[in-house]
Amino acid sequence: MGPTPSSANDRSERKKRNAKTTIQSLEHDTLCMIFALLDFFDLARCSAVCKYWNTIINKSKLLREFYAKQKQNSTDFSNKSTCSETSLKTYLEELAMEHHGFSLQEGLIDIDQWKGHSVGSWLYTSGR
Amino acid sequence: MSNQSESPNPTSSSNKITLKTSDNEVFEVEEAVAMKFCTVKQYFDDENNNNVTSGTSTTLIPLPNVESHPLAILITYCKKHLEIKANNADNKKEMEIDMEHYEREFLKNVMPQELTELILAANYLNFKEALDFFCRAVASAIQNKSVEYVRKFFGLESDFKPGEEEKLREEFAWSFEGVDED
Repeated sequence: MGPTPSSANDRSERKKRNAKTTIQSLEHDTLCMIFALLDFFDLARCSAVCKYWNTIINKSKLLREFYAKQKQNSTDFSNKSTCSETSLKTYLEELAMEHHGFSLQEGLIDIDQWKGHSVGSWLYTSGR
Repeated sequence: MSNQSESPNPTSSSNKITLKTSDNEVFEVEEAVAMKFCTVKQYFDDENNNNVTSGTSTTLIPLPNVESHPLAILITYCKKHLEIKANNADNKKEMEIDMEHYEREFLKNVMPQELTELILAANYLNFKEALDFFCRAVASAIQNKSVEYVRKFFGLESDFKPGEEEKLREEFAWSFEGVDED
């Protein structure tokens, strides 16, 4: 820390920082606490909010934990042994499809709209 | 929420602890409240150990990382938390119901920016129940919301390079289905 060029400058900078307490001020661990409460749909979307969140979510292994947990419960995907990023993304996509599928089977939701998905499966859109 | 949440309670016989915030406001709180803040408790215990002869509690505890606004709210929350706990000492279910009700009402008066300040303060003070509660509140604010809504809610802007965000959206296209209306 060297001498500051002007104290007025310093003051205004500090004021600016105080005025701007955003969610960005939260530490990595705190954000992880929050992200740990979200499902993988929310996590995937949150990773597109900003670079900081993206890095945290990708590094936190929260999505990977979903992957690992689901893989244990499911034999359908047991042949995918590597946890590489590509297979993770493919897997999450399949998981999403399955999730949508289960919701349909349960028949508890009202379907607002049917539409073809780019990946080739049928999806619905509705308020979950 | 008022700054006067530390209003003196003449009938209380418990010790008071004085907390001084980064913006030099002084809060006098009951020991039971202050002891929920683990950071304060630690400081308090250390002081007492170093100074066993002093029987009076005149300790002023500085909180250089906490501003008065979130602290006042945290004290209010903490008092209510203790009160609900004491009222339902023998009924955990009732306590949870009361707490849930209070927390729901509490959130109606809290702005998103305040929520962040509260999390920072609760984190620094190591007030676990409050930290958990505020994290849950933030999580439910994000749940099933669009990226744009989340950004707007927290005053964030996208800092992705052109094309990066599109690529993510494409990769996670399945997660963008069926979110709530903004």
